[in-house]
Amino acid sequence: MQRILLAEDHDDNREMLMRRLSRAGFEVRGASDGQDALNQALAWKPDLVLMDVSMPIMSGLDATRQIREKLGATIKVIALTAHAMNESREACFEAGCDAFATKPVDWPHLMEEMARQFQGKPAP
Amino acid sequence: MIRPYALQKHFSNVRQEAPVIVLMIAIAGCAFALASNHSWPLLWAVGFLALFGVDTWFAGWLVRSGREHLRTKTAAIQLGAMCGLTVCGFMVAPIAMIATGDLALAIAATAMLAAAATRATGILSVSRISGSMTLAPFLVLPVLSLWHPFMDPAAHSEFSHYVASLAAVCGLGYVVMAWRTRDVIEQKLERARKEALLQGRAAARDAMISKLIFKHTSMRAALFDTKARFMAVNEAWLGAIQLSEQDLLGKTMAEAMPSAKQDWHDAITLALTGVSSQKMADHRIRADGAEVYLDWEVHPWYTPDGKIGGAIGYAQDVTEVFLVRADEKAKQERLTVMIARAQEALDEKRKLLEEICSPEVVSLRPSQPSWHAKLESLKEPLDMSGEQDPNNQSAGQLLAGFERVLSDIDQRDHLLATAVQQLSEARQNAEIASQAKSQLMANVSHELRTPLHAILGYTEMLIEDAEQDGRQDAARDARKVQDSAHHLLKLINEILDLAKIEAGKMEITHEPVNLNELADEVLQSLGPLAKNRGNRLILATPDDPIVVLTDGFRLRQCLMNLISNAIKFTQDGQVAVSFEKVSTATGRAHYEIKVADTGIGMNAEAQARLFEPFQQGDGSVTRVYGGTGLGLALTREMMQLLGGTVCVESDAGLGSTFTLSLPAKGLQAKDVDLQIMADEAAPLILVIDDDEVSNTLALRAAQNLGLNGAMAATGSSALAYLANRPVDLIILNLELPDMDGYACLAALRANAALNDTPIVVIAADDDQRKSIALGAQEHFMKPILGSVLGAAIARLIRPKSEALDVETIELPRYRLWRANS
Repeated sequence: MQRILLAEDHDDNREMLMRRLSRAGFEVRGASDGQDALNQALAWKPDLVLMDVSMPIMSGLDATRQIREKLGATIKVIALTAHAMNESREACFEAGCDAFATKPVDWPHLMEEMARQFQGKPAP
Repeated sequence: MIRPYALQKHFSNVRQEAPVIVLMIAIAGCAFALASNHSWPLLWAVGFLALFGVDTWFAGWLVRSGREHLRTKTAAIQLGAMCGLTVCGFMVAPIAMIATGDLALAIAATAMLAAAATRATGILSVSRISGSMTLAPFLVLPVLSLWHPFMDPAAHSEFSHYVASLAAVCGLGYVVMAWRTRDVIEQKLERARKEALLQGRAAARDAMISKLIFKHTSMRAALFDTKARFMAVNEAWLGAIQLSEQDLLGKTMAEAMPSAKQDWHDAITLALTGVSSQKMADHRIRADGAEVYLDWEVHPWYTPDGKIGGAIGYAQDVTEVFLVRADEKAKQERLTVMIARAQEALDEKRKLLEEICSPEVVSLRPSQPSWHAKLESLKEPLDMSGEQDPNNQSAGQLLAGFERVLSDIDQRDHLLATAVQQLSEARQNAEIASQAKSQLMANVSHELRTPLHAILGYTEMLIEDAEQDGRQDAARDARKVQDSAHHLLKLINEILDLAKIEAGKMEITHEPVNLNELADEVLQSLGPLAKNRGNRLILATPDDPIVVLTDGFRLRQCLMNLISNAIKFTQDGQVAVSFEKVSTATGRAHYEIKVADTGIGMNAEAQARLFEPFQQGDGSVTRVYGGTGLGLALTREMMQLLGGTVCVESDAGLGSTFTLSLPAKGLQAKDVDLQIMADEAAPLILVIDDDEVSNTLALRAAQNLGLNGAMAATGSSALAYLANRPVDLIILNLELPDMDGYACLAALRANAALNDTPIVVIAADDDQRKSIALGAQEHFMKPILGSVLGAAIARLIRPKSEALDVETIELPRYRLWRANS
């Protein structure tokens, strides 16, 4: 069972996504801020992190940078953001994210993207 | 009285003969002493030689004493006395010998006397007085000697006869020699006299010429002696000072002209020490009070023996020249000052303008008066009120004009500064407002999306759960929630797009977009929607792909808006999408994409409000047909960004036709290098290639055929260039730096204006079929020879007059042309 760490500060959203991911057959853990996400990522070493960009204490991008620094490319990171501007997309890739998805999440699209990441294919 | 030259000759003769004379006198003394058995002839000889020495020295002294002295009578008498005394001294012995009564001695003595007399006549040529005095003893002493016997007549000897004979011979010899000498002397004297005469005449002529020049020159000239006294003045000098020659000659400057400045006197004194002095344009007050300017100079003059003989002064009145020159100079200076000050004023203006246009515009008030003051000061050098000098008048006019111009500039600067300041403030405010707005929009978008995320997620889960449990009512209700949330999301996205456009943050790319493919894709994605509403979708595209340089993503968005709108407002009808290339009267080509429906249509009033945000044709429309009300507003904004337009034709109940108009050129034609190598009317070849060597090869081939050439390094620049003007042949390298060569070829063929323009393709491969299928006439594989390329050009290019009348032909013209060729 693939293990997914969901970093999301919005409680409802986190709960919703965790439930949907569980239903979809993943082992899911949640983190409520960037620091928490980093700690859990280092400790639990999930297969993939769904990383919200705007989070308190440590932003999703900073957390991603640290994960990349400490764990290299062993963990896939998909950025989640409610920002739809072009520059934020570029900022995510620059920080080391493998893919990018906007909120509200287009569920089929997200599933496709995750499948692609698990197969080791680069984002289109 | 003494002729100096003769004296000199005489003196040199005496000096030459001195050894002979000394020898002869010594012999004569000894001979007499032996003949008379007395010793006194020896004493005589010594005494006479002493006298002769004194005489010779005296003659030398006379020669050296100078010509002045020789001319005096005193000198002649002195010379005569000296020579006479010598002659007397000499005659003592001969007369004593004659007085002995001895015949031989008497003959010898007489011979000596004769010789002496002959010699003495030489003095006559030197001076008559001296000569007379020298010859006088020859008359007086013999007479006296008859009266006074000197010695015993009986005392003589045999031996004395021989001595007397010898003396007589010597004496005669001397006479002959003396005569000859005298002849030579006479001849020399004669020659010298003639030379002297000639010299004298030349000197006199020189003197006369000098005098004439001195007299008649317009320059004032005066000659001074070693005591600084006037020796001579010329008429010009006299005329200038209004004094007569008598008032001046023999007097110094200070004596004759007491009113003259001291400096002239000083200059003369200086000249007497050998130093010249001069002064140009010396300002002086004349005796009559007039102001004059003189150029003057004073030099020493020299005697023939190199001594300073005095001073010579020249002066010339240069008052007129000086005044004219001074006037010119003053004008020049005035002009220079004017120009300099005008320059200063302009510089100041320029500086002011620079300041106005700088960001620190707020602190600027162009009312600084300092350059006005400068302008005023310009007038100072011009005596505006004074004399009627045309120069001053015109300069004054010039200045007045200049002042007006500067005043205008000042006024304009003021307006400009105010305007610039207002604009700057307005821009700053607008920028701040715009920034704030786009930030706000971004934040709002984010904040709205976050809860939507949860809403959509939970709703989807609810739908899944309801469907699993078979609760269809609940699933239907949840779908309504889902639809509303999707609608809200779309609204947020479009608002965000509008905000991006308004904030100038919408980025537009330019890429070749195949319209056929784009339209096909949009229609396919909207197929289910159209089917739901019973609509037929029709796509009418030209056979050949149309490639446009534009932003495909944004164009797709616009097309999607229009077509989904058309489907929404049409029930059981049809929606037709078509596009074509249109050339307007001005020659500007553009592409038109039409979306025509058979839906409800709208009236003119609704059309007018159609493209405003949240203004659908009818307030109730949104409720009935859905839609955000932002799609058309966004479409208009994006089409503007793409350089195009969107417009609508419609009537209520008769459907609507929306037209997207897209410029055929989206890029600059600046990168095309046009080279007119032949007649301007000659056919033009466009070479599209980024390789300079290939370009040169193609251009040279064109040049050899008498054609003009243009080079485009990129496909986009070539397309942009061709949008404005046709060419007669195109050479296209399929390896382009900015776009796919086949896309470029398709884009070229999509331009109707190039329908009968042959295209020669140069490629790395020999896939001829594809090129020809896309509309190329020739396909060459690299490398290609210049001659081959030239032959192809010559074959393909045709005179413009032969162009076919293709207006009525439906097929693309280039194909027809190919069939003919």
